[in-house]
Amino acid sequence: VDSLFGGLTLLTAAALVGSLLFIAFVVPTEATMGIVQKIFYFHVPSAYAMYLGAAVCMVGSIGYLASGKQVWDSAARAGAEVAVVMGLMVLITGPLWAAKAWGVFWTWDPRLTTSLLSVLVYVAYVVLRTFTGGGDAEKKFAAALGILGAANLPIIHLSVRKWGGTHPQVITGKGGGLTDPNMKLGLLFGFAAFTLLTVLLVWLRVRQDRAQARIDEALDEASALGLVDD
Amino acid sequence: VIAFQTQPEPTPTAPVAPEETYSGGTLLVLAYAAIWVIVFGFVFFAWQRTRSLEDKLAAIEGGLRRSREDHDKTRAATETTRRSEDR
Repeated sequence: VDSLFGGLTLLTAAALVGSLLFIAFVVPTEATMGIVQKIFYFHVPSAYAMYLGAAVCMVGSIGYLASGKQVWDSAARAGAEVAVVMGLMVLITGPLWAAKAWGVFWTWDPRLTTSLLSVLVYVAYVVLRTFTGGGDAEKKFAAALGILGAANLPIIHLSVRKWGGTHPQVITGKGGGLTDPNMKLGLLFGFAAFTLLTVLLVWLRVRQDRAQARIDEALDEASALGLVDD
Repeated sequence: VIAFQTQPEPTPTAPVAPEETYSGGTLLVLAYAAIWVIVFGFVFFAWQRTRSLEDKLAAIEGGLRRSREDHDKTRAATETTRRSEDR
C-alpha cells in the first residue's frame, strides 16, 4: 500500500508540474484577455475537483448514515476537507482573473455566489468535525450536512444558464474561446492532474483518520490490559 | 472660514481602467502561487500528522506485543512452577 501511495504521489507531482509547464510554454496566449486567461487552466479543474471532493463527502455521508461504519465517515470527512481546499483555490484564482477581465475582484454573480455558499457549507462541515466531539450524533449531523452540501452543486452548475450573470460558460458553451487544440489539451491536462491530486488528498486524509482509529483501538486494548491509565 | 477658504479645489478622479491597475502577468503568478501554497500546505500538514500518528501507533502496538509476550512468559513460568510443586 505504501509503494502504491508513493507511486501516486510521484505521478500526481509529475502531472501537476507537467501540466504547469505545458500551460506556460505550449498553450498559446489568448488574444483578447492576454496572459491572465491562463488562470483558467487551473481554475476550472480546481472547481471540478471541488465537485469531486463534495461527491466523495456525499457518498461517505450516505454510507455512514446507512451502515454506521467508521470508514464511510472517514471518507466523508476527507471529501469535505478536499472540497474546502479546492474551493479555496477556486475562490482565489477566480477573483484574480476577474480583476483583469471585469475590473473588480468580486461581484455577486449567481455562479460566484452559489460557489461561495457551497465552500462555506464545507467549511462549516470541517469546523463542526474539528471543534465538536467525535460522537455518533455529531457524525450523523455532519453526514446530513455533507448530503445537503452536495444538493447545492447542480445549482452552481445551472446558475449561469438559469439566472444569467457575467461568469463565462467556456465548457458548457461548447468550448467557446478555446480555439487552439493546445488550449483544449492544456485544460485536459489540468483535469487529469487535479483528478490525481483529489484522489491523493482523499487517500492521505482517510489514511490519517484510519491511523487515529487504530490508535484509539490499541489504547483501549492497552487500557484493558492495565498498561495505561484511562 | 480661513481654513475653509484655503482648501484646494477638489479634482474629479477618473476611474482607473483595470489594465492600468493590475498586470495580467502579476495576477497569473499570484493565482498559480496561491494554488501551490494551498496544495503544499495541505499535503505537508496532512503528511506530518499522518506520520506522527503512524509512529505513535507503531509504538503502542510494539508495547502491546511486548506486554503480551511478557504476560505469556509469566503464565508459562507460573504453570511450570505449579506442576513441579504438584509432583
